[in-house]
Amino acid sequence: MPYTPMQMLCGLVLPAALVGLAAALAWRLFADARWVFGPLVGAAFGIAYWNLEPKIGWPPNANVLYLLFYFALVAGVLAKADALFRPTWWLRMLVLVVLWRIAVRLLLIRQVPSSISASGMEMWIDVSTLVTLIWWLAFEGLAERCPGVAVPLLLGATAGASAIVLTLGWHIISSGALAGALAMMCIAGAVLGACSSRISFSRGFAQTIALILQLILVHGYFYTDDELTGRQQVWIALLLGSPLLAFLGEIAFLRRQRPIWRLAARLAPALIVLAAVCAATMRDYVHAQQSAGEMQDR
Amino acid sequence: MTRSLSVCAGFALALAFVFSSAALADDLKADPVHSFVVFDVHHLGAGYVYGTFAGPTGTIGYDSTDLTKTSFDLSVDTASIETRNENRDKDLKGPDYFDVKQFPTMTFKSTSVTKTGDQTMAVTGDLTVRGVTKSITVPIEITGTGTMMGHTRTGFRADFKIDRRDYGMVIHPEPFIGNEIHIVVAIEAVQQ
Repeated sequence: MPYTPMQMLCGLVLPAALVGLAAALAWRLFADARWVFGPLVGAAFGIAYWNLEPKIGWPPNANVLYLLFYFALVAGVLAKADALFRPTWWLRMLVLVVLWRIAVRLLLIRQVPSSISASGMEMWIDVSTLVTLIWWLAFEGLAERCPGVAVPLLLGATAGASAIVLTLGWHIISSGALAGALAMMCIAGAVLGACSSRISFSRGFAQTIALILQLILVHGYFYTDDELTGRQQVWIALLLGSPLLAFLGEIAFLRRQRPIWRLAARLAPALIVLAAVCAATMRDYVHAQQSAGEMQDR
Repeated sequence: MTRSLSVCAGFALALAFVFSSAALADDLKADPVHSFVVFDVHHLGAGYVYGTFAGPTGTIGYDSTDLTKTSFDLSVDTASIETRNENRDKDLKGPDYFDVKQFPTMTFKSTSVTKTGDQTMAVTGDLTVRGVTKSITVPIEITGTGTMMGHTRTGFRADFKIDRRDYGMVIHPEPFIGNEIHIVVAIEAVQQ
């Protein structure tokens, strides 16, 4: 086992329980408690990190793994400011772009020039900023339109699929566990959403989870020792694109259908793609294990 | 004026003495072809897994007359790890263990040497692995000298243990993978 039962309890279950219970309490006390989600998710991720990763150090870029921890805290605080002050879309996007570019630059700078060139790093910062912006717009857009279980379920499925890709495809168990911790928090969010349709996941929950998950994926993509095959590149592209399929629920014909059908239309296509990515990753892993065994037999 | 000149001359003499003493130490260069880093670790509390790194590179300031003046500055390429299983090697090179893309080398720089016998010494130094630096003391034995192609070669052998958790390798806790890593470093160093 990569972790002790206590580590799994404190790293996976405790953060999710904290998010679920504290958010339930906040939404009971306040009419609009979106502001609680950002700091709560940031802190819960910090607890997960504390239990699943090596000791946290300073400065944040002394080891790029530390960046995941500090980034989650900053994202959580900014999400709280977003919920409290309700800035306009363009200002939110500007802050997101600035924060993201700093984080990815700090993440990649250690690989220049040994693994990537300075111009290559700039290109990857631009690409990852674009992908993150699209994710943010997608998840925030969905969270604004449809309170309830759709967003946490979609985020949870994406985080769960990311955990499988990171662990089995890219050989990074600790990052897979962190993505798993996010998936567990999303399950807690889905339970909340199922209990009360009043709970909104915009300006807090959705953006904090999506940003942390994106940074975990960027870290894994650049720091895995594997030379990712063409197939693996396709799987990660599908994983990143799958949340956009939720917008199929917005087509005119489905808008007139019952909510349960709209929810199914939002989730089913993305879930099918994510399940295909997981199945392909697990198949590749089993094949790699078998061929490694055959090599040893020879 | 005369007094300050004599102080300067004395200082210069002292400096010359220090440098001439340092020059007594031979600068040896580790020969990676005849040097080895081998480790073993307990697996599931049952058997042992063995692995190697490519031989270390770097220099040894070796003073055969006064071992306490010997110094070590060595570096190992972390991406060269090999345990005879491709998947395990990928895990070890990844961020869970050596994180070779971020930390391509691990280094040892001695800070002090104590003579413990005719051919043995306890070397204290900074071991840096995964960006974490810890001071450790390593027993080192001089295993002999020989000559090849007109160059004198000296052998050194260190046998010691470290706790992997000290260097941030916390995944797969005991008994799955032992915390204590037994390391043997055998270096053949060539006189320059």
